[in-house]
Amino acid sequence: MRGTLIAVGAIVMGYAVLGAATDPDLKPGGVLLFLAAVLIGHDAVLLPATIAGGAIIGRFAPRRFLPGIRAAAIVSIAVGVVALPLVLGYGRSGDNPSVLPLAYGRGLLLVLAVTWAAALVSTGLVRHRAGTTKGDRPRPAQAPRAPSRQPAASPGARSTSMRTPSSVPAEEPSTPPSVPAEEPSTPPSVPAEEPSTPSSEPTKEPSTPSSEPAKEPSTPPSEPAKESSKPFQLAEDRRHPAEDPQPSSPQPSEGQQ
Amino acid sequence: MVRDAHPGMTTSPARRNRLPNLLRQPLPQPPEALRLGPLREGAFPSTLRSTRLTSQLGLALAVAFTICFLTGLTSHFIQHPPSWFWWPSRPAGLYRFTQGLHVITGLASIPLLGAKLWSVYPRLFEWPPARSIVHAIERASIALLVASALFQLIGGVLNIARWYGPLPFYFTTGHYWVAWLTVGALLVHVGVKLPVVREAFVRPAPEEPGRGLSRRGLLGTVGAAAGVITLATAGQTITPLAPVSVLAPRRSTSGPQRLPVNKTAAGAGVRDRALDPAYRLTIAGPTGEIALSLDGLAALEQHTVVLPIACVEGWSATGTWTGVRLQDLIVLAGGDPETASAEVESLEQGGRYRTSTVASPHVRDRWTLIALRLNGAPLDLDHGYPARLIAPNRPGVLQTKWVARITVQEAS
Repeated sequence: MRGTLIAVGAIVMGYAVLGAATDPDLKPGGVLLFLAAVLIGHDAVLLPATIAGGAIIGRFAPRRFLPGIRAAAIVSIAVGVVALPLVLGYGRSGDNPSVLPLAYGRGLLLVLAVTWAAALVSTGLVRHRAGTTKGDRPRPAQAPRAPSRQPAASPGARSTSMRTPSSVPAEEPSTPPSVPAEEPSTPPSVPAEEPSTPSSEPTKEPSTPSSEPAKEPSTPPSEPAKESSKPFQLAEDRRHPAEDPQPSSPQPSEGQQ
Repeated sequence: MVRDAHPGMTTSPARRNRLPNLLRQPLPQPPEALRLGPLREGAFPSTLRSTRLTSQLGLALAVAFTICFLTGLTSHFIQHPPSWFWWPSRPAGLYRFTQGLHVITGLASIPLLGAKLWSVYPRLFEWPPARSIVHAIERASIALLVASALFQLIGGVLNIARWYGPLPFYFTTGHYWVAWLTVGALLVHVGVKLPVVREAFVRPAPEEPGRGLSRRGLLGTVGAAAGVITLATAGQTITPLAPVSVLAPRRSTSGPQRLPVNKTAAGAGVRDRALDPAYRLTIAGPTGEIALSLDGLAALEQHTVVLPIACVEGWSATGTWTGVRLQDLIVLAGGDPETASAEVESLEQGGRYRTSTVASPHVRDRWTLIALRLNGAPLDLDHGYPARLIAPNRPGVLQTKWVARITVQEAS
């Protein structure tokens, strides 16, 4: 199976090289040049810049908004790659106004504004909800996920762990019975579906406000925001326990690499 | 490129014996003093990278690239049909669908590829750079895979933005051959990494907690980015999305007669000949040639069809076309519309798409017209006045404009 895949792949690559070299329509030098340019441009410029940007965000962004800011930054870069040639507009032609007919600079700003608003609002909401329940979490240093949730459901575990996290904001955990009850159920029950949920849900958010006539569904952003809070919630949940053992915990993973 | 405990090629002992030992012999270790910057151990502290994350992104990317490859190959074969290839004339909107999917999937792959490459970026700086010749070959094939995947996506983005300056080659041909290169390198890559991927899915490792996004948070973000890009651009072919598609390179109602134009009459250099009152459409068939003026064409039986124009660049728009059935013209010239195909030539003097061949299924189709009118008015000059071809389920570049001559080709 693996040998077949590798052999077929090698043959297909050979076919591509042969075809490109013999096609009279193609300058192989131009193809090679562009191959090298995009590889270097990505690996030596765009990706290092992205990682550096992510590190700067990690250092200066307020912690409560960090996942939201990272998420919005990632979406912004991806959208930016698509939008840049449109915004620059070198493809416009004088005698054909149907090419690139829109104001892409404005469009990009609109998409970015909606993205950042949705990300920050949803992070804020998650944070707000998580803040009321955070005390319910024990703070396992390296405990596997599912077990760590289970004790959280019981009020007993809550009362003990309540005292531990000093980083908990002053949100009063006055309504713990209702909120923690739903929380532990969420993560273990939807292990497979979850990645798909956020991928579809936040997607809808930008659509709504960016459409001019869509004033009335401008409420949905908060609805999906609650749904999409799941992934970020998971992030939060793990983040806080992690803050203290942080110096130790990243090390073993680095060793894995 | 998945990070695994035993990086590089993991082969069964049986195969290892078959390969020459030379290829697997350890290469000399480079001096440790060269291990600087990103090559240092622990240069990439993010705990978010994991084999599982990379495998999930890789799987999604493999699906997306397969869709792009198959739809792209379909489009290529329609335009350059090999002898075994057959493409139907119905459903009329099939090509609109496949090519729209091609561009939508390609654009949605951009955040996937970005995240995938980020997740394996530390492997670019693995130490030592090459442990053996086989390892060096594998790394070279990965460099080729990364370069060709970036080539396809970035080239595609530049193409739909019609910005050809940065492309030092003819886009269509380069995109086609590098697609084969990408798929070949992808097959090799999947073959090499299959055990690692299987392991990552079968035995999920507990996630390291980090301060920022979780793995699921990142996957959700990548999905959201793909969704935002799709919503922001797909309106160029999915009309209901047009109001939110603020980054669509085309708008299906933007253009003369509310239809976009790819090549203008001025750009094609046909303006004077198209407007010349002496214009005649020549039809060459088994019984000789006939020449019809625009009035002569208009005097023939007229038919109206609603058909999309679907561009290879991923936009599409629906028009209401009125004109003469191609099969009626073929009958006039003594051809048999059940078996014949037709070569349609434009007034253009040259250019890649000056002529197109209408294959038998499309000649037989009663919706294939030589159109004289669009959306209730005579064709705009930029839409092919005085007469253009419009057929169901064909790429826009084959819907020849400013038609000057039709040659009936009897089935041999």
